[in-house]
Amino acid sequence: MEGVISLDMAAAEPSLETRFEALVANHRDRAVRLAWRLVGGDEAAAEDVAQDALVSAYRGLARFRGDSSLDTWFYRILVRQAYSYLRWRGVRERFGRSDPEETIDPAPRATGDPLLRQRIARALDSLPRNQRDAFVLVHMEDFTVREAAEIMGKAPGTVKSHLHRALGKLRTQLEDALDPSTEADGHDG
Amino acid sequence: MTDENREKTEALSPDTERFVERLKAAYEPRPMDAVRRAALDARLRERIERPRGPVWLAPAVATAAIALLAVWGLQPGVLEAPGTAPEVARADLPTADGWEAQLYLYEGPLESDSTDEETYLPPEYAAIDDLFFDG
Repeated sequence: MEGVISLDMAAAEPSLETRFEALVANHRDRAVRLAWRLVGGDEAAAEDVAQDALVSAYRGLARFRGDSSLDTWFYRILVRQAYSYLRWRGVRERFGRSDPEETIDPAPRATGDPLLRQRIARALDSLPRNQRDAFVLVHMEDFTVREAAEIMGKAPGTVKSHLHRALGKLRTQLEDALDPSTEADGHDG
Repeated sequence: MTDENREKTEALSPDTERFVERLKAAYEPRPMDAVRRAALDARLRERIERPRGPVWLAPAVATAAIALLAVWGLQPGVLEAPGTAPEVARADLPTADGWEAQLYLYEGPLESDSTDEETYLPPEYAAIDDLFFDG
């Protein structure tokens, strides 16, 4: 991300600025994609969540001593940020203050079948938070179980348990929609 | 394939693996392009360069707010029955269906599987929790 950090700012702690620029350059796209999957396929919300996470990482980077992976440290911030967003959206929806444009968005600009995407978003949204996070991190974003455990602050065995339960629930909800033999018939949304 | 990934895929039957692959493929966002990257970077730059408020003032502000509330609470009639409360106090309170009251009182299903919150949390991650989140 060239030019994001001014040289004046970098003067005080150049290594920090360099590390942050590398963090943004290396993880911006994945951060937005992960956030998109965590917040239910809402592109604008995903970019906001990723941006909030990057700002938090920037402000916390000076305290990061490198005892653990910078990547998992950042994605932990991101996952927490996504959770905060979902909490806020849940409150707004519960009390009728939600903006229809902010709720689960079929995201017509994304690729693929919008109805199927919306159905998957709802199925993921119906999972308990830890199951959803584990499933998205490991099965959709290809983090290892150990990385996901670090990001979630859980033991690897616990993450595996969440994965197992999440998979069972998602298969129950989505098996028909993702069955190749029924694909030609469309989806019942 | 790493040991971790092998461990992950070995746990799935071929049928389940196909299901996961189809789900993943169907739930794919639009790839970031140069325009979106530039816009995101610009917003990020703006936020990072924006001066933060005087954080060191926060404890003083909080103390002052508590003191004001205490003084307000000591006024005659303020803590009596609702019917006798001064008009100005009632007007300042959120209504029963007010957004602020609802948000403050909300205890809904924010986390339905809270029983498995393990204590496993590397020190740096705990520090992040303390720094940025209330959880």
